[in-house]
Amino acid sequence: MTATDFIRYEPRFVEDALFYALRGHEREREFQRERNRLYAIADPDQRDSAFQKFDQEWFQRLDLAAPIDRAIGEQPLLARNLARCLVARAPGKKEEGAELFVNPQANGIERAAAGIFLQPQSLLDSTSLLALLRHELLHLADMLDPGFGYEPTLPAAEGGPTHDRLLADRYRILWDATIDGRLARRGWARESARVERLLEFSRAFSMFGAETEQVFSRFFDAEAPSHAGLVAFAYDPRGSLGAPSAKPHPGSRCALCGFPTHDFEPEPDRLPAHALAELTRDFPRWRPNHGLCRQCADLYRACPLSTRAATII
Amino acid sequence: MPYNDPDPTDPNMLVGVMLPADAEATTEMAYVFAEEFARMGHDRRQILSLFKNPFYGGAHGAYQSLGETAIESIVDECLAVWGTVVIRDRDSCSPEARATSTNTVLRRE
Amino acid sequence: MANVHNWQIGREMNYPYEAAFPKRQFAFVFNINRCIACQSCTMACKSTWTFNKGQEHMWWANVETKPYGGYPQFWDMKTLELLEKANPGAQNWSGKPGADKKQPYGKFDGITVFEAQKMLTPDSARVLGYLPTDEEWNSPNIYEDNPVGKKGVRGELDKEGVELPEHKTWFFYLARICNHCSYPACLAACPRKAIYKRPEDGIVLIDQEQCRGYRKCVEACPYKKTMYRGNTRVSEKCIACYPRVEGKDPETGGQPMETRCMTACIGQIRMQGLVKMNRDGSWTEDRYNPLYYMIHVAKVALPLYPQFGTSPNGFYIPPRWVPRDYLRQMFGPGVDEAIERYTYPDRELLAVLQLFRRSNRIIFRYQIKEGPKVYEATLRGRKITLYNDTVIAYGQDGKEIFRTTIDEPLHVRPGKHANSI
Repeated sequence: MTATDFIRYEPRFVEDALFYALRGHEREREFQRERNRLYAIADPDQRDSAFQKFDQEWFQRLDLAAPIDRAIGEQPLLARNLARCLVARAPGKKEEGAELFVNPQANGIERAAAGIFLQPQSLLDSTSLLALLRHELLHLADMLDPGFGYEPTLPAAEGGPTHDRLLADRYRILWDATIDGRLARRGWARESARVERLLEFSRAFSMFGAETEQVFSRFFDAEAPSHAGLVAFAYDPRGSLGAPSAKPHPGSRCALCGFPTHDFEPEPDRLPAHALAELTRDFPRWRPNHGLCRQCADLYRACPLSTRAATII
Repeated sequence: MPYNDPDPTDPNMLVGVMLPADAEATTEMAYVFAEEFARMGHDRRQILSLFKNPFYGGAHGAYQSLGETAIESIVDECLAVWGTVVIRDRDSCSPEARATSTNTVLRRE
Repeated sequence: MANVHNWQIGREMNYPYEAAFPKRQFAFVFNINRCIACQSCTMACKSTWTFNKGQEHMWWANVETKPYGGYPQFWDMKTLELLEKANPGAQNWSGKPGADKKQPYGKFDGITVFEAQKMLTPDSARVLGYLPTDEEWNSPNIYEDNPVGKKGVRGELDKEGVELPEHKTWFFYLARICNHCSYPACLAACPRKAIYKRPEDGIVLIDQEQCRGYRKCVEACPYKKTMYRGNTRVSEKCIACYPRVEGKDPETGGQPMETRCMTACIGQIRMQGLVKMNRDGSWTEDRYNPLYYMIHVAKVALPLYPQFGTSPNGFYIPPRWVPRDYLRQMFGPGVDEAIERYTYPDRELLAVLQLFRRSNRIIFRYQIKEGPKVYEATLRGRKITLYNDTVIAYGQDGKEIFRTTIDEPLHVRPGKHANSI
């Protein structure tokens, strides 16, 4: 299979990219002259096909696809496991990226395809584009790698939707750290990548205090991360390290409500028995060393009162 | 169908936003529709069906917020003035032209 | 840049070309007070002109719910914002509406889309504008008063349909087509001079042979009424049903006929005509042309966003129930006077309003034959007097098209009376 068979471009993407690329270009007049001839074709469908063919030729002639071809070529897993890769327009800068599309009804290589979404003008800055594509396509390669063991959904958090979001956010930060770490070792990441990812990590996992960088390194410097490992850490950062500390770090999040706090309950193991019973019923994986904020502790202390009030009402 | 839910942080997006308006604006709108359609020669049933049909969002919105009794009273009030006159049109076009006419004329002689 | 006079903003303004005016101008009046958004006009246009492949997103005629909706989304807000950014806090009117035909609404002291040089990119651009995204074109009535699906469920209507999302406060329907402007922004922006204004009727057309799909017209038109067609690589726009306006439709035997969107109007909100123009761009005095009367004599119909500077030839009778600030922004300072006159119509206005949609042929002149007073009533404190007047409409050939008479009050007696017929 040739690269042109595997990678397909949305015609409007190609045309828009050409307009951007040729604005002020030395060959702009030549392009317009050749292009204008196609307006002589009266039949709309024939004219459309002629424009698409013409655009493809110029797209190749100007080598606008070079960064895309290169980034895809660097990830052999993609061509081996996917039927095709479609490159289409992204509505905005924020929407640029790559997605994996799976058809559960299909089998074999036809089961999955990749979609790369870019703004056409992004093709003009090949360095930034290559960096973006390398990052995005390594995500796709991980998803296709049996060693990584990707699952499309994360396990539901015990604490409800707020915690689901927290979990997804942590997972994304960890995965991005492993991606940029691997890219950095191949000399493909920005110099600032490590610092930027560490900052993001320390905001999400503030409970590690002085140990943060050391823990971060376990991800950034990991060569073969796994989905399961990332999920386990996101779910229970301390537990998964096997080194529960005596107390949660001030400023880290309460294990129950998820809000950052400097006001942890000083002795969570000495909460009244009824409060501990109620708490462990709601959060079976909670242990006193996970800590909890004073507000949550008060809530569970007041449980009998609330229950009585509810009965009266 | 919408592609995305409306973005509440978009200042241009007015979905779910209350707009400052005279409290009488809805009543006024109902009066205007009733009066205009009465003037065009519609009868009570026709005008009320405009208000009752959810397809006509403006009139129906007034019907829902003001209630059926209020709308009936508005329609009756407008018909009391406009419903008693007959507007007669006499077309001067040829009979062939009249036969192919797609125009909507309510009361043509 | 040439200096041209724009009567709608009451001053001279910059325009890329010297002023040139047609002998007659395609113009129309839409009475918003009657529009119920039945979308008959929209579909009449769509099924006539834009039903082909590549035209799926094109609605040359559309009706949108104001202030919630727009097609393309946010078209007016975005242009207003661009102008405000170019000229912060100074997009204001001075003077007052008055009898001066050169400035009937006062004077607009802000800048138009042709006068925002510092905001133009690249420098060679001639008109301030923006290119709407595909998403903004694709759903013409998105988030208006249409039902949407259950939250989080895509592509499906709510099967239970318990409650549809509805806007709780005032709104009105704004029907729109191309305004066939006297100073078209699309024409000004076209680098190939593929857009032209016909000298015989002022209809603005895109020469499909000349257009090379640069989309400068789409970017420039502040009303966003030129649209790009992806499969043919050319832009298209409302053609004002010119074969009908030329009298080519067999129905009228060679006489000018109104457009498809006008004649399909169920709510009878629309009237379209051809008005005579002076060489300076003002309208030739034509006292008994119904459009001239409504726009220049009664002044009940106002241009849409006159401050954009294109001198649109679409005029609107503003809705009576909508907050005035909003209407003043949309139709200029003439709003208060227009609503006052429309709410308390005099004998002549009442007669002219009877001309709407009684025929498909273009009315060039009307005549009122006055009759006796037949009826007097009060509605919400307003005194309404009706006369047995007859209004006669004449066509281009000077022949009568139709006549409308208001007859005496009719009382239908219940059948129970012995002398009932």
